[in-house]
Amino acid sequence: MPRRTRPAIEQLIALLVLSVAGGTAGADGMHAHGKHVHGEVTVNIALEGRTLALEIDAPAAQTLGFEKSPRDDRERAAVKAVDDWFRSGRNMLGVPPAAGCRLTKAEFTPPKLGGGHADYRGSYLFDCAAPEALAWIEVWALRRMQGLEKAEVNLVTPAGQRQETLRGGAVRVTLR
Amino acid sequence: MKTLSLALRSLANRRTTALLTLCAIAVSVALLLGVQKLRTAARDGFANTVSGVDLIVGARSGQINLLLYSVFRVGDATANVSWDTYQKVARRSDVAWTIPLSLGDSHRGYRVLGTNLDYFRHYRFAGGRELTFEAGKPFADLYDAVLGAEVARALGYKLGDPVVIAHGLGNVSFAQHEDKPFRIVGILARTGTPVDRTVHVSLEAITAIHVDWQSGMRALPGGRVDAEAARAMDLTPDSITAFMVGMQNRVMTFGLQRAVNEYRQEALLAIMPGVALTQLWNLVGIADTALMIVAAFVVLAGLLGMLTAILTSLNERRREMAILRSVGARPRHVFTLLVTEAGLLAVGGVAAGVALCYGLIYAAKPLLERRFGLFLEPGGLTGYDIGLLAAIVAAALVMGALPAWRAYRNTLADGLTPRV
Repeated sequence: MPRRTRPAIEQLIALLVLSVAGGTAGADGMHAHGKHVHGEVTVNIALEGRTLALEIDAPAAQTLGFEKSPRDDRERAAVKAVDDWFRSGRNMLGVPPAAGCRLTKAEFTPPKLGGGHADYRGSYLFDCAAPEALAWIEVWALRRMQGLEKAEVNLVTPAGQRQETLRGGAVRVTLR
Repeated sequence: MKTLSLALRSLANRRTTALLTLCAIAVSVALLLGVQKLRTAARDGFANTVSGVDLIVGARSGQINLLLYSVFRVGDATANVSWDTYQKVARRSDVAWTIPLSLGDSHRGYRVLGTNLDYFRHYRFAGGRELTFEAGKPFADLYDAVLGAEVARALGYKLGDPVVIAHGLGNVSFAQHEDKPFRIVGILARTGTPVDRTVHVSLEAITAIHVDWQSGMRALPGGRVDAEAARAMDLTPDSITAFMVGMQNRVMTFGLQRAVNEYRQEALLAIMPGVALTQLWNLVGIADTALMIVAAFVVLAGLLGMLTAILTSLNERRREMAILRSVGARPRHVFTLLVTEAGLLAVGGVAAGVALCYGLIYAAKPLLERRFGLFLEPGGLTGYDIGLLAAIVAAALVMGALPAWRAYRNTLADGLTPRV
């Protein structure tokens, strides 16, 4: 089980770093950062009419496996691969083919690695020809994450708002 | 088929015991199903306390804290939201409407909410139901008040009655705004939500009753402003407690939430009520699981009753078994016969229990809605319900196998020599 111990140590370090960072952030009072919890990915999904919106917010520790600046070619290649993936928005979501969803917009700004915490934030819009066929959505992006403890999925649909927690390799949320 | 008719006749022969056993199972099944229906209704009712609101914005604290004071009127805000910030958000192009909320005063233990007419227009509960008036209309004058159904019922108020608001939240408060009494112009229909326990007035009214108050004290006689003089003043509040937001397009919800949470001029928190409700339910939902466990044990008790009834009947039925054997029944026939009996009792009990449960729900529905605001939609049996019922029958069959096995052994041992 060597793969399980490393994230635990990373989490501990993250906690220590966070508590220090928390102290300094509190000093200027106003500035609010999004939360950054190693092992936890936030997924926002909204559906209105034909538009399906997706936002993914993942610590670089989960997408890349590290948050420092890349040092060798292998790490630089890894950064490039993840950046390209987030920029393209490909293989982020899986939906029933009958819904006919097409990626129309992808927004991504690469994180600054090496300056403490780094988060990958991507936001994507899909146009779905038959949104009523969206019985479920699978967050395929989670399959490429490393050391993932859980993903909090916030859903906004015509049926209302809901939060689901995906753990242990689960990627599907049902929409009804 | 032959076994089935034989089992039926055998049961008919002992109809009193059989009926009682069936009743015990029916009652326990009705209880289990009723608890299941109630907890679904409670969960839906809980999730439907507020609907159609995309975001709730308040001072930065915790998600659940903000939800509790803005929607459930429980607890207090840590700080207020400035009027300028509220206006800034309200005027954004992606925002369709906002409902300002100003809390902090009370009337005989019920919270007073300062808001505007958008509250009556846009607030939704129970999956899109609008607020409707049992009597009267929304507030129009500065000193008009609209009561929730529960407030009006509990305090025996009717339209036109005067209401004096207390400063702060005490049930018996010494600081009363008695110089500026309100008149009841509307009573809302029951919603089954905290709206029922709220006194609604306009935001301006909240400002008006506090114009001559400073640091929680009323000004000395010289500095007081009377009710009529307050009308002439600018009653725009400096701050509000929180506000609800409806988006032009739901897809924008997350964008505004982020913008509010990262707003630099003021420490704000925007929550999605549906998400916060999910989290809150995860905390309080333990109680309903406990209820379900209790109901499951009642069913178990019912089945044990059946087991006892069949087991005690075995001795009396030695002769019956012996006769069956003498006319050619094999021990396994006797086994099947007894398991079939248990199955019949369970199926009959489950069917009667379902009928009993639905009968009770239909009978109690109006009362539950009127008194507790619990909207019970019995609906059909869900897949989960059917699974539960099937599990009960299966458990009965397994339990029935115990006396069946005893009878099987007995018929092997006793054969045709019953000691009568």
